[in-house]
Amino acid sequence: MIHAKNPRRLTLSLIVFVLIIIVGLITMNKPEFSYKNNSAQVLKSILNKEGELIPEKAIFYAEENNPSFVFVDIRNPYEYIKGHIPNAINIPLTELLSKETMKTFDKYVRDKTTIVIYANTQTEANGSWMLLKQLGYSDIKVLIGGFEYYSKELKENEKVPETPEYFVETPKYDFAKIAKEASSN
Amino acid sequence: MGPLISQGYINQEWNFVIALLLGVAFGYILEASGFSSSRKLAGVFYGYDFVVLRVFMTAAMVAMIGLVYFDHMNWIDISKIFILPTFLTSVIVGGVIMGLGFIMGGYCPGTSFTGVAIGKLDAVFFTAGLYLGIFIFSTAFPLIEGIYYGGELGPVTVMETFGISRELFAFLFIMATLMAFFVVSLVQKRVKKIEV
Amino acid sequence: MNKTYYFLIALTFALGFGALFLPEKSHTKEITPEQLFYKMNNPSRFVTTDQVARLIIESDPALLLVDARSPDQYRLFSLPGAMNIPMKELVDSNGIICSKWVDYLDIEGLNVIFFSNSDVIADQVWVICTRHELDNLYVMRGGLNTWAETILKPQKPFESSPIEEFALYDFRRGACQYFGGGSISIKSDVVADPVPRIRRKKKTVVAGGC
Repeated sequence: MIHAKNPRRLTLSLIVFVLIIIVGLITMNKPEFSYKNNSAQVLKSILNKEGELIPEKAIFYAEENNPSFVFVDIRNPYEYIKGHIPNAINIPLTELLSKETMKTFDKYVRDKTTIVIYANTQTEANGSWMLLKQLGYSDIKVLIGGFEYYSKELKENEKVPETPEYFVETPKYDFAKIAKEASSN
Repeated sequence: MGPLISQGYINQEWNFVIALLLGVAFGYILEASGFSSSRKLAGVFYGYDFVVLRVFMTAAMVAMIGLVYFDHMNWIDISKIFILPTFLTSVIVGGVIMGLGFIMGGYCPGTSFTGVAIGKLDAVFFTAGLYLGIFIFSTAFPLIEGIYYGGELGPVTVMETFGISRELFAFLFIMATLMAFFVVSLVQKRVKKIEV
Repeated sequence: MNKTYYFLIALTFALGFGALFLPEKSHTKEITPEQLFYKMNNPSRFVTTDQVARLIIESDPALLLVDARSPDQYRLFSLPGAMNIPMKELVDSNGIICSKWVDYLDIEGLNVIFFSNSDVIADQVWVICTRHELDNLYVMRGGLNTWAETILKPQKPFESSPIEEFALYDFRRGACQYFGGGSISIKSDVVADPVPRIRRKKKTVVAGGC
């Protein structure tokens, strides 16, 4: 039985323990991204629609090259080259969280420029918009209707129906009626 | 990171290997600190040797500090640690039985095996009694099931019950432990030394 | 008492005291933004209306359809067997998904498919739920509008269309009868793969003991 009567060994192990903690505290890396807004705040901003930009306004801002708005095209570069909103910058979705992108966005935040995210449809841009919203970017909007509607509007330039087509969440049909019709066929 | 196994960093199958290694280390430390001697262990009840109290309180203290700091450093997620549910009745009854057994036999279940490992006769008898107890408990389980599952509180912790932070509890616990060490050293000085 | 003991006491005391000044840390069940971004970019989170129709017809036991629209719209029409989780009531004031929903959504091996009139609201619900560590969630592409166009009112393909188009049309007509209550048997082997079923990695906790 080697009963440790000398406390030196105990001291040594405790010092090692303290060293581990000190090293850990020093090398502790702060996570690069952390949520600034919780889901309740995000849901609130979804419901009050403050983060939505309708295409008519988008066309207006893009044509007058309004300096307080910047359009960010998150589609891939090929689609971007084929056609994009005037003066829009291209940040492919895969690059959204890269260091350069964050630098660019921070610059816009400093300049108090509103960032407008868009892709072909609203759904395609929705995830990126919500992620950035959760990361704490407050002045960020998503183009509803997406580029599909935007480019169509430009060509035809017709009268807008009562509930514009870009509000995709309005039911297009009376589903219950169609279902009944389907059964009677 | 961590807890390593439940987070999937280490395969579930490694459980037993890790348990074996930890068990070997635990047994070695117990033996090396003199826990294979029933007289030394029982000393805590008579006031001539408090090594049991010192070892276990130090272990709790170090583990506690480690968890608090490691959680802060993101090395371990303390909310994912398994907390045994509390059954109040069985904890009290079991504690009384265990304490009585400890005073009478001079061993607790873990240390009796270290005693067996170095071939102590009293430890062998103690272990035999331990298995007898397990047998009796298992056979009589339907009778005492009510006590066994009585007073369920779920996985409660002191922090949650009193609504204090984990850090504050750790600090208070350390203070209490250091105080206990001091008091114990006073007691030990007054009681006649018994060579173990 | 030995001098080193004083040192040890001072050290443990300092460590315990230091712990008091560690900043607060929240332990909400959340995945990191990077993980959310990674899952967001995975295109397999979208399923087509045909896949959903097929799963309903096969009465897949591992399927949970979730209608993210308002209760009013849900009452008028919804998919068969769908439950209603209005987006407005998804989270509580602390930003955590209400436990009454989690009980339904967080079941091992269950595939949850969100839908709304289109796919925007469903996608928003998807993002929120995914952030809170829920797995095996999908979004029905196009929502009920597309459901009506493809399943309830299937369009006959052009004469020159490839044979797969016709097979898909046959399936949709069959599905249409099914959802309308008709009796045409369904030829169902041409539609795209059903939802990939990923078994959730077992999240067991470490059991302790003496």
